[in-house]
Amino acid sequence: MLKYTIKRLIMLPIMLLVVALLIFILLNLSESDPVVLMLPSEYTQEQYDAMAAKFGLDKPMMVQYFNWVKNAVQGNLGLSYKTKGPVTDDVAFRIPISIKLAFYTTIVMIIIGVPLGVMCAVKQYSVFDGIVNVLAKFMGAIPTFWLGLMLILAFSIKLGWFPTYGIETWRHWVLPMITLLLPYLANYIRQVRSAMLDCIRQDYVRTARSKGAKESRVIFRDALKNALLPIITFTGGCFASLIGGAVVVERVFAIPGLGNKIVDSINHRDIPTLLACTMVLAVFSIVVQLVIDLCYAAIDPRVKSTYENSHKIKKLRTKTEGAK
Amino acid sequence: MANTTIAKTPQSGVKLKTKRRSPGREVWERLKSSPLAMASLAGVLLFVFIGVFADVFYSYDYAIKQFPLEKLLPPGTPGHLLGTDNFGRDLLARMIHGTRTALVIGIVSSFASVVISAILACLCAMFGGIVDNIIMRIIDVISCIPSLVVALAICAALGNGIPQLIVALLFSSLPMHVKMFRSVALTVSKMEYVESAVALGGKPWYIMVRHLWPNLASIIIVNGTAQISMSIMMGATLGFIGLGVKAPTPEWGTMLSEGLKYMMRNQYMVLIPGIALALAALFVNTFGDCLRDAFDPQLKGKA
Amino acid sequence: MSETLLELKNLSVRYTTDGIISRAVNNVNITLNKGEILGLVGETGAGKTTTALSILGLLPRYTSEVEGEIIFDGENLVGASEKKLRSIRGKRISMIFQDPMTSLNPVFRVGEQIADVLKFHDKNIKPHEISERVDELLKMVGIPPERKVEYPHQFSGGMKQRVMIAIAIACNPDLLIADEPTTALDVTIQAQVMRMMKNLQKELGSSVILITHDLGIVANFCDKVAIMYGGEIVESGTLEDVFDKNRNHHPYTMGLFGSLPNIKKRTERLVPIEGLTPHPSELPEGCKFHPRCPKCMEKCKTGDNPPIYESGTHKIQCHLFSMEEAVR
Repeated sequence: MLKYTIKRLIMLPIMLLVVALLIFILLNLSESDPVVLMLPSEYTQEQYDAMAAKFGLDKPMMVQYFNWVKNAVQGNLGLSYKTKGPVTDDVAFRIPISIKLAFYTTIVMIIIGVPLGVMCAVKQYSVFDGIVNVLAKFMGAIPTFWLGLMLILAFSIKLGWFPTYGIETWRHWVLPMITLLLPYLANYIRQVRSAMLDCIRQDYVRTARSKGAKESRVIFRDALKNALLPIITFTGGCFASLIGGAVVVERVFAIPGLGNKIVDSINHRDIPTLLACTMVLAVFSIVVQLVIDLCYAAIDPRVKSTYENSHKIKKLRTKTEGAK
Repeated sequence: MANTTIAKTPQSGVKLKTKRRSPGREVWERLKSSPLAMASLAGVLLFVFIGVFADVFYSYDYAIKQFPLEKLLPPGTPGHLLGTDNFGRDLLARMIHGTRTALVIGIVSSFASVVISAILACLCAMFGGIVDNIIMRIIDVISCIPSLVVALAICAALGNGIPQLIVALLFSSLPMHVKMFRSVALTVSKMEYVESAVALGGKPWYIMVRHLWPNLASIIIVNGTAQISMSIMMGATLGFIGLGVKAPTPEWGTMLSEGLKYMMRNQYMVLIPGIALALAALFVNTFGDCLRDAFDPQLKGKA
Repeated sequence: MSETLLELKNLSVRYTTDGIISRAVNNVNITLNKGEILGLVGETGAGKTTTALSILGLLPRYTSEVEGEIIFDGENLVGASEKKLRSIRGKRISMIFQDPMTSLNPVFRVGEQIADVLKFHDKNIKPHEISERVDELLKMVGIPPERKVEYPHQFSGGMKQRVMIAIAIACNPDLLIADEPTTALDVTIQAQVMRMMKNLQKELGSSVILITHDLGIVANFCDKVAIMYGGEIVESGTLEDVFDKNRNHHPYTMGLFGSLPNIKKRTERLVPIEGLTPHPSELPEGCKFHPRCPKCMEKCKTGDNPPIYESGTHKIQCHLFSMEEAVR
């Protein structure tokens, strides 16, 4: 198990380097010149050269890339093209905000989604199932940004219950979380339902019933524990996706998170800031994926024993080979 | 007294004398018998009709023509059924042409995405080894970054415009489809009938077409349909942010972002494109679900 | 005189899916006394498993309908409350299912799964008592007790089936229903498992309904035999009644025996029964076997089911014998 974790962690910096390279290439393909964007509308060639030199933009792309990597490894993520200040100032404080948003939304999603999904699976074809299904379809069809705008219109402007922009009080979080939650919730409920249905149809559920178990126990212990495996997988996937997917919500509600900064930096061709933000997102993505895989291995006895056994099998092999 | 009804669908283990129908026809029959499927298909076709025949309703020039004296008119004004926007452009015309934009973006990018994903998946399954590794590493890198950000970055790189948008949507949706298709392809390739085909000297290309394709066909179609609505949404989201189509091309997302500034007093500018988006997504998603149930009734009710 | 433990009276089960009605079990009558072993024989699709599931009330709730009576120890189980059925399942009637590979829960330890049965039926049982009993049961089925902490995937097919048997006998049930317990296993393991079941049955004195399509197993294990076709019992009686060549038999029974290869006789070809088992939603009129019967007569093709000819314990449902003493 440890070896597996280490192997995955080694991949992390490699992936980051490739992602960074990708961003570099993409933004350099763009037609707009970041130097021009930093200068006033009328400028001289000397001003241009000076600005370019200041940000290292006079060098070829690959050199820029290596310089960035060299600096980044030492903790220096460069200067923002937009604010001209250190990138870390802009980005660091946004990380906890984006994570908080994603985290709380995920928790609410689990609290609402898992029970609903399980109920739908148990009461398949019933009125309850039908209603939840239809609601889920509608929720999934609404565009996120439009939902945000509608909520602002209704609850903020017309009714004045919640504030529109910013994140000062807990009230500020309500509308953004609802906007972020609804489209994901729809899919989440359907996934939970599907996982439970799969498990309920298995033979071991019939065995449990034949032992004289209460139906509630059959569902919540025998079936659900098996369903947890896929449920954990896509919960983790949702969480990772929420961190970046909140881009639109952050935009609409003016939340100072990573997603907002990403759009900003793309519009300004602010490569260092964009790189920093993307790196953070990529790290989270990879780490969350790793944690899910480890959880899966910890819970599913079949996977666990594969890792433990491969250890034993290797020992056995070396023993027998030594004996020859 | 035995009171029997003749079975229409065979059950496992017992042979029945039913007429052999092609799989396509079976799927269509199942679709026909579901009112939900037919209703959603009708909705989808309505949008397609509007998109294809947009020019019949209003010419493209009319959709981008500005009437300086008729800015911000509300819906119901004679001559401008849905009102006008802040530039004085007729909203109904823009909505109709926006339908065409959305459909083009959605269908082309979705089609390209699933086809390319399928090909990559087959390559992974058939050749394995290094080919599989390289392809999956690339996919892993792309999937580290949230799909919207990928699309944003590509749009920023390539600029505004419909072809660029399609490319962006294509790349951002690749990881999801490649992973799914690859796992199906791998399962099929490990089946014994593929083993025997290889043992009989079948070439990779032949095996791909003869064995992998039929098994992939149904999930390609289902995924493709789902991707259409996702592409339309993401295209609108990008338009909302300001990347996407070139102004003054009518597009629902761009129209929404233009309407933002006037949201307080002229809410229709924000409501109408949003409703259109939601309806389009609803119809396509519902039809996609019905399609999936039609392909495999055993999966009925499952996600 | 043995007491009657289980009586199925005119039991019928109907499945309804997508508007199609499948008549899986039709007017089945079975009597089982204490300590008896009944072999329920038939091909796939004959309705054997459905009969077994109906005894335990394990049929899908919304798509199946049960008519008739299932009298277990004096009480009718058809229409009984869930609570009543639960108190019987695992404790007085247990079932061993066909496929051991999928019948055990992969995420729970084997010992836990056996302990479950004990805990369900005795609220006051203490942990050390549970542990002792689990060890005892595993020894009885020939599995080292240390293995109770392992997971199902770490066991072979034969051992998984033994775990299932341990679960089934945990509470000393009066009736054990074994649904093709050895079909999914290798022949050598089959012999082991059947031998073990025979010993257990002698020790515990339970009645057994053994569902199988293997006549060899029936010959070695059962006291009574019932042959099912199209959801009906077409022939039943003691082992001698059904297996004795010199007595009358239903044409289906003769076909079953005729399809077996005989090591003593020299034959070129086996003699199969023509045709295929009918689907429960497409059962023929009249005698359900008539399309495949080599002795089919005109009166077999229409009308009600053939009358039942009785000769002591031997019952045959066929028009052929109605010329003699016919008892409906």
